[in-house]
Amino acid sequence: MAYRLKKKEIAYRKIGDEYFVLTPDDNMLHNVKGAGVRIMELLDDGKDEDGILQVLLEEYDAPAAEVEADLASLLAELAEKGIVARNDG
Amino acid sequence: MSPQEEIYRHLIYATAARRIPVLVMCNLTYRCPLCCKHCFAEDPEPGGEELSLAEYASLFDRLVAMNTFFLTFSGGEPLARADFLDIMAAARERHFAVRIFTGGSLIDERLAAEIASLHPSGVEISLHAATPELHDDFVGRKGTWEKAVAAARRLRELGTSVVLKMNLMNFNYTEMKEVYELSRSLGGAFRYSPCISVTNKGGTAPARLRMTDEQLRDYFRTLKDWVVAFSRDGDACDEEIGPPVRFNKRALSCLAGANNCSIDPYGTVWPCVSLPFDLGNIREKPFAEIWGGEEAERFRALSDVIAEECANCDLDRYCSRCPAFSMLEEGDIRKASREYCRFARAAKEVLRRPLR
Repeated sequence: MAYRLKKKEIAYRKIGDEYFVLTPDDNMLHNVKGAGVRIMELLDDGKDEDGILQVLLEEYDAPAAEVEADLASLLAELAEKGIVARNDG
Repeated sequence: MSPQEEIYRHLIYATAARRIPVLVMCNLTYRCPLCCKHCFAEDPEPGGEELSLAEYASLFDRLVAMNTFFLTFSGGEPLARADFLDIMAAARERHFAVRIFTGGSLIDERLAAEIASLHPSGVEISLHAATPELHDDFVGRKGTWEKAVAAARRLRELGTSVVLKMNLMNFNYTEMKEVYELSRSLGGAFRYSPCISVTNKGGTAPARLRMTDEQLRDYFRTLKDWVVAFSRDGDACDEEIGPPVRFNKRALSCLAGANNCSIDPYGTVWPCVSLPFDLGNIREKPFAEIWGGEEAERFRALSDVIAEECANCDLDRYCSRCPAFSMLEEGDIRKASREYCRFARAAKEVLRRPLR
């Protein structure tokens, strides 16, 4: 499944080593830290889930299945917060 | 502290410590169709040339580079600008969280839809009474109350966050609860302030609207009852109850110039919309140079000095101390503001302990 950053809807800024994201629908401020920061950067660059996975596999020395599972989990978390949406949604 | 408050607090402290201008207020114009009797905004350059759309776009690029996240569009009436939507679109393209401060009277169905489509983080509409005639008389234009409430309703229907804002004065403070109920019925939030500033040029006419000492005590009694009710009902309390949080306890001051500032319609940067310290003009040098410049540092050094009267005052737990009031009314940012002393005395007398 493909996710996209909801660029038109949300407000976001990388400040220091974390992202701050405001989702206007619920007027909530979120901060995204750790591995989520790199994913936000790649989403901001327009990469889809496969593209992000490729980059992460190059950057992290970890088993592919583990990276893939972590990525899916983080994307699901961002989707729950209203920061990303599925392309078809 | 809720998780939301923790994130906001973290952002505010982190940016203040690193001198990041995380919040910038752009007063897009001093023009306004209303004539509110408490208005602080006296045009410092009547007939001056307002920043153009291109100049705002360039400013926004520079602000992105400096990690500004929150932009507030105010005025005057920001929607009085014919290119308001273009300015807002330019801001949203750069992913700022944009809030709009407005009287609401210019927001018709079409404009509400246009604003909502740009996903502002909020629209804050001034509504100074629950009684339409009282509000209309105060702002000097009949029909304004109806338009403002219709705008709030329409924006909420479109999913935009709305705040009804009320300045509490001697003629309207008793309607606070009704305006609060109205905001809730519309699905919006409510914010209010008993602080009535003199104008940015020191004009004292607005001060005549301030609550009397007895009215202030009455106001604090209402707050006290409210807080008890909120606690009992377990309701979320998103209103500013009591004095705002004081971030800089050492200096008994705010964060103006530390992580936020204001830019007037002609490009002059101020630590705050109410603080008459000219830090420089973005038409003459880039914002980053102004923010890191001598004038800004001079202001920060001044605002970091402990006000002797305030440092040793036993009312400090009840006081949020506004340096702008000290500057505009006492002529010195380091002096105590008699108006804030009055708030604090009334608060202590009624509340016995701070609300937060």
